[in-house]
This record gives sequence, structure tokens and C-alpha cells, in this order.
Amino acid sequence: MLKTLRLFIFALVIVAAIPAQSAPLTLNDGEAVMGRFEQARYLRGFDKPILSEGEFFLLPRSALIWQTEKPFFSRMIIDEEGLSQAIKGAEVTRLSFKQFPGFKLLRDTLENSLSGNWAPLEEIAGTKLLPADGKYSLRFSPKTSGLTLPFAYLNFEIGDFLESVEIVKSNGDRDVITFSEQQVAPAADVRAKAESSKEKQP
Amino acid sequence: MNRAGLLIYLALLCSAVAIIGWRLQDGLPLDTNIVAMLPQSEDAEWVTRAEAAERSQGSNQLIVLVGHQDFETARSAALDLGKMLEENSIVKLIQDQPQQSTLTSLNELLFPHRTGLLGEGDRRLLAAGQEQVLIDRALVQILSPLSLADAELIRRDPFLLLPNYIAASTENRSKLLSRANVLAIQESGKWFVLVRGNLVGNPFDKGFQSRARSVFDDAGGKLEKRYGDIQLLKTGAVFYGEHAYRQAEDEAGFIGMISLIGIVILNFLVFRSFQPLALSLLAIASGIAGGLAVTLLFFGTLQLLALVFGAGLIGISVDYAFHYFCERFNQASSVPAARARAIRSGLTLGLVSSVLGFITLALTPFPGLQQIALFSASGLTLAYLTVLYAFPYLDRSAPFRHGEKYLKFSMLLHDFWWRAETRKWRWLFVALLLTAGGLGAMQITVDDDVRRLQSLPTDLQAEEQAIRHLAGIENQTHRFFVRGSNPEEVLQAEEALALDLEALRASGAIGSYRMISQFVPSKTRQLENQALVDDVLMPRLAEHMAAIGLSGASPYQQAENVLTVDQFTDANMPGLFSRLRVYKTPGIVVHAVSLSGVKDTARLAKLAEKSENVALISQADSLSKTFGAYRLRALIMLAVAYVVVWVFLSLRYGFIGAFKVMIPSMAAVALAPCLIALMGEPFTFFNAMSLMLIFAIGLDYALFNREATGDRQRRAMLANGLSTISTLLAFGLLALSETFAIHAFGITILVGITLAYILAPRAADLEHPMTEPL
Repeated sequence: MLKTLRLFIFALVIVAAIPAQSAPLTLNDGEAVMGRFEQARYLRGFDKPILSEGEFFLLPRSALIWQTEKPFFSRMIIDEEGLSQAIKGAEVTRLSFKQFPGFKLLRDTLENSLSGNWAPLEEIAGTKLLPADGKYSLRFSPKTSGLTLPFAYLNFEIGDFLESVEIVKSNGDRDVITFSEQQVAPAADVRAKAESSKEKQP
Repeated sequence: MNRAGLLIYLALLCSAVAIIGWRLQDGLPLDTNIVAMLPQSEDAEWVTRAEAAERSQGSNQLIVLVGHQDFETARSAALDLGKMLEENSIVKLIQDQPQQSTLTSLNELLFPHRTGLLGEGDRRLLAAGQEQVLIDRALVQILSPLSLADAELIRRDPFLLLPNYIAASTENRSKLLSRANVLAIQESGKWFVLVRGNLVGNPFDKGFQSRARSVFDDAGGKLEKRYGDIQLLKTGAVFYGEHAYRQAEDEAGFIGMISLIGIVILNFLVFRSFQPLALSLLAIASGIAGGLAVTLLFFGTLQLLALVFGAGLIGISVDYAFHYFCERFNQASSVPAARARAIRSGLTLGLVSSVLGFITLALTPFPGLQQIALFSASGLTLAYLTVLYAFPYLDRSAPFRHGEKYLKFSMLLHDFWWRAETRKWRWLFVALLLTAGGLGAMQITVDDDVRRLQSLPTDLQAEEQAIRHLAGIENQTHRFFVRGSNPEEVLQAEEALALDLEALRASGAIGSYRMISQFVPSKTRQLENQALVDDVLMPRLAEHMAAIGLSGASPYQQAENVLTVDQFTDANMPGLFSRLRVYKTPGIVVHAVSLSGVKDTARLAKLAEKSENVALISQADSLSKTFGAYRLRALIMLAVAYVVVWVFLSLRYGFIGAFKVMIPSMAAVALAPCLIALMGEPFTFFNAMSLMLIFAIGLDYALFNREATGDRQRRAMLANGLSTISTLLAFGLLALSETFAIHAFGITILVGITLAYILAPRAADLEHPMTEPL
């Protein structure tokens, strides 16, 4: 009996000694995140994926700045109202979420996932983050009724930060966006960095 | 003659009652639209027709925002409300949120024509040789993680011409967000969901107003029971119209009641008998029956203001009864027919003068004022017949034994004007009056703004303001109508107008504009667009396709025909454009161009003057202008009325004598606007119209003074005094009205009639009394 108890205690100690899989990082108030992205668009029937890469700056509850540097320089700012795309400082597109409400959900999803705010996504997805290979994953297929959504489902791969997201459209098109070099910093610093990054414009 | 007069009176009264019974079978056809009182528009016929067509399409909207903390609750309540309003035939709901099937069919319809459909910005870029911007835009949009385009669309339209065209032409400028098939906005933790519909009935029709209000209130009650704390913000002409009607009804009821109470008190106080009161009521009833019957017979409906002034008519028709019963103070005669004979001259001259004045009034082309004139003239005529021909048959009473003190008291004013010992006081009074009049004349300000005619209730205005703030839905104050002999001509005219409107938009004179050609360009414009795309953009297609990894032949096949407006039904055209299709008949097509954020109407008016096929529609501005023109015309008609009456009275008094009789009335008419200016009141068309009544009633007072001789003078003065009190009760109380037009009438008559009464004894001629009856 004593031997069994000792074995049980030993087992508990062993289990306790195994390092727990750390939870994804979450931004605190006043913090923002920035990093790099690589995107591959797989369009059905196209010869090759359309590749792009650049920097992103997430200022929670304010804006997501998506600065594409390759294949050419462009800058997209997504705020609460909609998105605006500019080339060489000149705006070429402005879309309001009032016109395309489905994008609002995608924008909120990107902001929540990049800032580690997973609870709302878990709630909509109806499942918790699933641990796998020292990381987490989440498959998100929005159930919201009535909205014409621009995607069928999303697959998230999460380490400390969001590492990749796969956006799958109902017609089979899919985008794979991989994130790297994420840094958390005060929002003012990230904002300043985003401003200075404009200078990369060739 | 007396018997014939009675028979004529009875026949007219029976006819009036029969006409009223026939016309009121379906209730009182009351029109509360003050605008309907105005003359037919001076606009071109095509504009008038287009406006009528717009009205028949139900251009009047009902807008409600349903608010609740929880979105789903607000949404369900809004859907329920819409359903209840539609099921009860109050509105036909507007599909602000296009269904997916509609969008799909729209895309299918537009897709073959995509190279001819360019937004104004794209068109300018291509024309300037800046096709790279469009190519870069397509690339940016294709690369975006929030991309509109899928593989199928990019393969068929690599430059993404159509999605950019649709995005540019159907831009939603309201603040509302499309969510779960409704339009909604969240403000301070509360969701507001929009319910919008075109009214099925006329918002100025009393029956429809009452029904709409009742259905709305009933629905509100049900929603509160079902969903709890629901907030409803509403706006629409039907609510304003219903309020205006209720206010007028309340005021007419109040004024009529005070007037009647005043008459009852006056009767008992002065005559101490039930009979004068009963016969006065007969005169009033006959007058109103006559006025109502003739108005309904000629116009079919009754204007709100005509009804309010119908209540006022009580005050005039009872004047005649006062003159008759004051004759009962004559102890020398106990024969009723003699009483009628004694007042016949004054009464007849007064009636004819009034009717002449009203006929002049009827010559103004304002239907509402014609109704007032007809109502008054026919009502007074029947009251006149009642007093002269029915009273003697119904009145079998002996002369009054009391009343000496009233007769003496009423002569005080007469003595003031004629006694030698009051001479210096008279001069002082006249000097004071002229000084006040002079000071007032310098302060007269003219105001023709039609927006002041209907006072807007603050609670409804606050709700409208809240809707504007929350939803960004703006009341459209101005719009253009554009005409052509076929749709192509109209679209071309719109495109020409758009060049000027762009300039106005850039300078801030307007906020934005909407026209059908922004969605379906003219054939000419589409062919130009196609040529631009072919010449400037297509040479870059292969390079662009290679950049995005797309191989194969050009997906841009030329459509056989251009897109036309006729390919759209109201169902498959976006709502904001389908509402701009106003009128189409062989040979005439009219489109509307909606404008928002208008800040400079003068520049818009100049645009409309450039082409006879473009008309600026602004009801408020054009009506204000019309009011100004007709205020002047009303004053001219007043002068004409004086000349006509002068000629008429000259037949009895000679030119000088007639002029003297008219002086008190003319002085009251001239001084009243000056004195009310001292009170800070503006001078409007309605003040001008009320001068017509002062003219007529003032002449009555003066004529009775002129016609009365000897002891009859005392009785005429007493009757005039009683008439003045009852007129002030009936008309003067209108000054309390919250409806600006009615208030303006009331305040002018209050001052004018008081002056007319005070000055009337000067019309007497003690040296040349009228001894011969008419």
C-alpha cells in the first residue's frame, strides 16, 4: 500500500515537473503588436499562387495597417469604418463595412487573433483552442446567420502569437498568411514605427 | 316679399343640408395639407406631371428606428413592426437591404457590359492615360486578405472593373450597417434597426392619418408587451400632418367653444331672454350650413384653414342677429317685420360690401383662400336671409323693457367722436394713433418663409433629429427633375448636369448627388468608356494576367449592345436608383436627381435655368417665393376691393360721402399691420389676407353708423359693440394658435377689428342722415 502511495506521489511529481504548454500571449491595454507577414493566394485554376509579403501593425480597437512590400509597395489601413488601400500615397480603393458587412467580421477576427484575444473567437467557433505539438489550433466556421460571409472557414495555428491563418473560400480559393517576427510594444511606439515604415516606399 | 324671402331661405337651407348629408356620407373630407391651399404651380406642365407621378408612387415615407440593448431583440421588434404596418396597409416596405438573389441577378445583368461601365474617377484616369493606377488597384485588391474578388471573378474580369464600378455607384452614405438582413446602428450601447416604407395613402388625408397613427400606436403597444423596453423613433409627413390636424381640431373646438360661450353670455347679459340666443344659433347654424354646403359642392373637400375660419364665421353671422335683436330695444314698435325693415339697409349694404370683398379674395388663385371666400360669402348670405326673413316669423316678442344703460353706454364712443367737449381728446387720440402707426410702419418686416406656416411639434422634431443623427438619413429638401424624349436623352442630360454638380460638390455648395446615369450611363458614354478601355487598358492585359498567374485568351468579350435603363425593373435595380425613375410616357421621360447637404440653393437655381429640360424642385423655396408674390397681389386686390365698394356705395352716398364711410375701415386696414409690427410680428401673406376681413367687417360697422339715424343710432352702436366683442372672441382668439398662419390672422384681426369699431362712429353724418331706407 505504502509502495503504491509512493509510486502515486512520484507520478504526481513527475507530471508536475513536465513544463505545461504555455498559453498564447495576449496584448494588455495600451499595447500593440507588429511583425512581418507572407501571404500566398491560391486561386482555383490559376497557374501559380500569388505571393506577397510585408509588414503589419496592429493597433487594437484602432487600425490594422497592412503594408505590402513585395511584389510592389502598397499600404492598406483597416479601421472600424472600412478599408482604404493606397499606392504611392494615393488612395486607390475605399470600401465601407456598411457596403460589405461580411468583411467587418473578418477584420474583427484578424484583430482578435493577432492580439491573442481568443475568447470571442472560441465563443463564435463553439470550441476551445486545441493543443497540438506544443502549439494550438482553432478552426473557425462562423455560424452567424444572415451575413454574407467572404469565407467558408478559417484555420489558425498559434504559438506565442498567431503564426498562420488559412482563409478558405467557399469556391475552394484559399489564402495562407504566415506571421513572423512579432513584437509587442506600447501602442504609441507601434504607431510611430508604422509611420516611419512608410519611408520604405521606393 | 317677406314670404318669398322666407321660401327662398328655406329652399336654400334644405338644399344645403341635403348637400352636406350627401357629401359627408364617408366622413368629413378634410385636407390638412396647407400646401394644397396654394395656387397651381407655375412650373412647366412636365414638372407638374412628374411631381404628380412621384406622389402617386408613394414618395412620402415613414421612417422608424427601433431601439433596444440587444441586437436580436431590436431586429425582431423592427421586423414585427414592419409586418404590422404593411399588413394594415399603412406602408409598402422598402427593401433597403438588397437580397442576395437580387445582387446576383444584378451582377449577371451588368457583367457583359463591364467595359462600358466606368465610374467617373476611373474614366478620368483612363482619359488621362493613368491606366497604371487601375492596374495597381486591381493587383492590390487581388492581394488583399480582405479581397472582394474570387478566382472566378478575377479570371473573367482581371482588372476588376465591375466590382469597382458597383462599389463606386452604390456607395451607401448613411451611417447604417447591414447586419442580418436589416440596416442597423449601435449607439451608446443600444442597437437601432431601421424600418422604412412608402406610405400607401395620402399623408394629408385625415382618415389615413388617423388610421396610420392608430396602427402605429397599437403596434408600439404590442412590441412593448412582447419585447419590453423598446424605443421607437419615428418621422414622416403622416405624423406631422396628423399632429397639425389634431392641433387645428383642438384649436377650432376651443375657439368655437369660447366663441359660443361668449355669445351665450352676451345674449343673456344684454337681452335677458332665451329667444335671441336660440335665433342667433339658428343664424349661425344656417350660416355654417350654407358655407359648408357650397364649399363641399364646389371643391369636394374642405381645407383645414377653411374649417378653422368656418368657426370664425360664427362671429360674423351672429352680428346680423345682434342688429335685429337690438331693434327690440325700440319701444316705439312691436312689429317684428318693422325690426327687420329698420336694419335692412345697413345689413344689405354690409352684406353686399362683404361679398364684394370676398369675391375679390376669391380672385386670388389660392384654392384654400377661394374656399374661405366662398365659405364666408355663402354662409353670410344664408345668415342674412335668416335674419331678415326667418326671424320676423319666429320672433313674436314684445319690445325689451330694459337695456337703457347698455344703450347709453354704447353711445359713449359715438359721443367721443361727435361731442364738441371731447374735441381735443379726439385730436390727441388721433395723434397718438398716427404716431404709433408711423413708428410701427418703420418696423414692418416682411416674411414669406413657407416653413413658418406649419408649426412643427418639438417632440416629433426631436425624433426626426435623432434619426438624422443616428442613421444619417437626411430630409431631402431639393432635387432636380431632368427631362428628355427618351431614356437616352435623359441620361445624356444627367451626365451634362453631373459636370456642373461635380463643381458644386467640390466647392461645398452641395454634399453629394445621385442620378441614374451613375448606374446606367448613356449609350454615348458607354461607347466612349469601351473605347477608352480598348485603347488604354487592354494593351496592358497580357502583362497584367501574367503578373497574377492567369493564362489564356482575353476574357473581355465585347457585348453586342449597351446596357439600357429599360433592362431593369424596379425589383432588380438598386432601390436608391429605382426611386429616381419618375415618369415615362411616349415622348417624355423624367428622372429625378437627388441632392443632399444642399448649402447654396442660388447656384442650383442657376443650373436649372441653363436648360429647359432641367427643373429644380424645392417645394419650400418655390412656395415661399409664391407667397411673396401673392402677398403683394392680396394687397393689390384689397385696393381693388375698396375701389369696387366705393363705386357701389357712391350710388347711395355720392363719391365723397362713400369715401367718408370707408375711412374708418381703410384706417383700420392701414394701421393694423403697423401696430402689430410694434409687437414684433412679421407681415406675411396671411396678415395681408386678414386685412380683407377687417375691410369687410369694418365697412359693416361704418355702414350701420351711417345708416342709423335718431334713436336708432343707439341701437346700432350697441349692436356694433356686441358684434365687435363676438368677432374678437371668434377671430381674436386665433392669435393664441400655435399654427403660425392662424396666429397671424388672429393677431391682425384682433388689432384691426378693435380699430374698426373704435373709428366706425366717424362714418356717421349727423348733418345728412339717411332718412330713406334702401
